[in-house]
Amino acid sequence: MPEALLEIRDLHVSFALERSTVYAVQGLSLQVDAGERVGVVGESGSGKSVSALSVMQMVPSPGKITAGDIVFGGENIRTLSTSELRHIRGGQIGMIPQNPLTSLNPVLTVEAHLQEVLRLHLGLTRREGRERTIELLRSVGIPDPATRMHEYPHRLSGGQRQRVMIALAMACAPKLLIADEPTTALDVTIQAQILDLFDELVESSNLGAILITHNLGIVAGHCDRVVVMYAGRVMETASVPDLFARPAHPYTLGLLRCVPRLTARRSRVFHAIPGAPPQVTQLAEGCPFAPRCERATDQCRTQTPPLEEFRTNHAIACWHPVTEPAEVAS
Amino acid sequence: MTDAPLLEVDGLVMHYDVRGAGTFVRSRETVHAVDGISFTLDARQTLGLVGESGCGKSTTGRSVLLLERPTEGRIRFDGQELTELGRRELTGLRRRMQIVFQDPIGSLNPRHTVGQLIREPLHVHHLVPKDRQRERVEELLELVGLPTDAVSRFPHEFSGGQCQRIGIARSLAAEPTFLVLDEPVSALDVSIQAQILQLLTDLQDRLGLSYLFIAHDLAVVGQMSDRVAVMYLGKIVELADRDALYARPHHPYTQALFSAVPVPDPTVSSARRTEVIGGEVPSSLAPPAGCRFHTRCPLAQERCRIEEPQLRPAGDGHAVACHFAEEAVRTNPFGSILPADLEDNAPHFGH
Repeated sequence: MPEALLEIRDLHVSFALERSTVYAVQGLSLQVDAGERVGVVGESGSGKSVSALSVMQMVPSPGKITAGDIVFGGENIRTLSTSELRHIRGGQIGMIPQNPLTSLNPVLTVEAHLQEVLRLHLGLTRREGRERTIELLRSVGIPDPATRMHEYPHRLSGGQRQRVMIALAMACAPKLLIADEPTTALDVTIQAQILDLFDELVESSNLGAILITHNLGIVAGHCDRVVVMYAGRVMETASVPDLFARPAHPYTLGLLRCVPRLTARRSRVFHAIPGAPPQVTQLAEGCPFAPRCERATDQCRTQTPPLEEFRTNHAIACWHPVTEPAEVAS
Repeated sequence: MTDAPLLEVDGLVMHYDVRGAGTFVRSRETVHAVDGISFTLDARQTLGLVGESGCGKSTTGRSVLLLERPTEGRIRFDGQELTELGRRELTGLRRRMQIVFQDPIGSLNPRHTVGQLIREPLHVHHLVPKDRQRERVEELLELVGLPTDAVSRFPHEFSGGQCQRIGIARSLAAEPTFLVLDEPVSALDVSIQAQILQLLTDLQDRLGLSYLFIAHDLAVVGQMSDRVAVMYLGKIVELADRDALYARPHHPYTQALFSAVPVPDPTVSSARRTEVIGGEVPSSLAPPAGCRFHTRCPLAQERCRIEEPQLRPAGDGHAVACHFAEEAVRTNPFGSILPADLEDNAPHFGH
């Protein structure tokens, strides 16, 4: 079996605040192969964005990675020096952020952004950089790139800005692409355009990709494998077809039932999960979903279920998995 | 009088003058936020208003309540022409028309307790004598599913979903018959969204409310609305009964919207062959002549560039503003497998 492009093993991240500590990620393990799109899905506060930032060693202070390994291309990223990390960030790993406007420098033109990356990582001259900039902008679908590259970020639409961010992420031909809610700030028709571009790039460059999202529809259409997170833990991980056809964790099933469907007839009854996702400030035994779970028993409240293989390539952390197919399809 | 719609909007126009570009010469430009839209809403019904950012849906919601005076157009609420009313009369009528905002936390004053927030409309409209106010506030909290001890707490102590419940309680304090719901769930996580949608549905049944439900999420709008209006660049491009619209969208833009929605089912998303719509929404400073969608429409002809299509009846209770709606229905330019066709083979979770 060939080595995975990226392997995260038992990652723990916490934020020590003045009066409390937030345990944002507790034991995330995840693997990404070349050409594979892995979706990380969860609600706010589930730890999905912090996990993405951890891969680049960019967890904002006071956040700290307290345990775990992040192995990329055979090297443990956690042991690298700052200068070694700099080669990886924006070089071998590209990142697409949620809000392109705050990620672009308002006083620099589009060209200046790309030139900087190309000069620092690839040592291109201004002239070479300009040619490459035009090429890159064209490849992400910016019309008339030779003119548009002189624009400042505020002159571009949200979709165009996100295309520029993708060009930046792709500038150094990375092996891994991390997209953190790349379309949350965009309208649905522009979202469809950006996701198409994402698929195209992953396929044409055989990239490994992590796509972080709260939208199960995006996972269904644009990922191969999926990790469902809740309160900093992995609840379920499976291939995309398997997860949607046979969700085994009550949380996943609950989420799938909550999503309003375009295809469903109108009914005046909505499936909701009672309560709200917690912010984990205490390390206690027990399943974090137990307070909201209708299947919860005393065992769930006192013992943390481990993430274990439930079916082939389908693991869950649950003492009482959903096994009856009728319950899913009814 | 019982047959007349509760709300009638006729030819609503909302333009904003803005300072244009140009460093030395100050030019004036006009944002065409809403450009002549008409619709009606019957009592106890929900009209969904859907469209992408900048289409004018929120502006419509605010103008209907006269939170901003429309540039042109008539708004009749329960038989009264709002644009002709004086300030005092308007305040009286406003009690019956309320709004719930998108940002549940930002729309609540952080320095006021929940009790103060909900009590304010009671004061303003002199609804309940002082000695009964506490009781009324507790009643309202129970109505929206919050514990009564919330009275003395502050908004920051509550989650987003709970804050939205507070916002709803505050709107209901004035005992309205009509609510504008401006993206009430788009800031919430899906598991919480469903809770709030259920609450709004139950309140409508219990209190006989009418809703103008504004949202960008077609699936949410489809679950909440009896009729749906689709907006694009300040115009209504299609208006139809919910079932008719979702079974067979007639306007190419509506079709494009449907085909762009990610479906949470991998068998469906791999089976449906959709054409992603190209281009972006043009600026509302200078909307295109003719049909405003012609710059992105695969069916556009010379006529679309010149002649503006009016909203016209097109069968099955659809009203559509497109010269070639019949062709759009036949050819489905965005290749969307229509939702109705999916219904049989898509697995359903729950219902």
